[in-house]
Amino acid sequence: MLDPIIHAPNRLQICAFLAPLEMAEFQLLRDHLNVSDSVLSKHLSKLEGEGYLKQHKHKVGTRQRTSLSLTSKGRKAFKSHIKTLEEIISNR
Amino acid sequence: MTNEEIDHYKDALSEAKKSEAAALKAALPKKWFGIAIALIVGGLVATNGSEYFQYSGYLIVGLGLVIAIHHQQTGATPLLTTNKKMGISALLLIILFFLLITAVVRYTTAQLGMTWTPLLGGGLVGAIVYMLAKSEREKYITIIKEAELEINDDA
Repeated sequence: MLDPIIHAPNRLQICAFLAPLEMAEFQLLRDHLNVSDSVLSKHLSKLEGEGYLKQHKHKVGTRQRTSLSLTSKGRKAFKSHIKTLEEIISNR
Repeated sequence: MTNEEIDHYKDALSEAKKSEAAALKAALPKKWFGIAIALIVGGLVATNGSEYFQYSGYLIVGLGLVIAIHHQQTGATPLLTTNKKMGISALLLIILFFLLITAVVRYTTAQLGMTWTPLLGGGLVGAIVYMLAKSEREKYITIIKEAELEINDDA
């Protein structure tokens, strides 16, 4: 079963980007997706609300940084979503 | 299911694979990182096993600095293992092994007067750390290449 929270294009890319990582910085993900801060924040909040993602805010010097990581629930949901996508394509 | 729907799912899967490969590329440990960590950890064993143990504090600060600078350069940390218990056990085993080498180096230097063992112990540990870092980097490069091949095949 495809997960509607993950399946939205940007959110699928967010989960795919974070899946092989322990954590990534907000800026790195924003540059990869080529979206604005506000658009990315909106998607992150949606994933965080579902318990798929954790945001950790910390200070580096005077700058505020945000680290992002998938939760174990998020990793499982993403894995299952990808498996479903592969099954749909192979059963064509 | 229509062909359009199938194409949509194919595109979604391809985009996900591209993102995974991009993340691994971003988090790929730099070459200098493995060398620096190997030198520092080897230095820690050498200084702790010799009469220069008072300098090990500088090396620990150096280790923290190297990790912080590397993290700032990459902006991402690769997932070492999905099984946390296994990862922690492996790390503990490596630390225990290094402590054992340090103890042997100390004993041979203090009790047997073999003053060359700190260099040998440090060199051995440094070489092990470098090999581990190198194989980890190569593992990531292989995963990235496989992902890129898969993306090209799909396209």
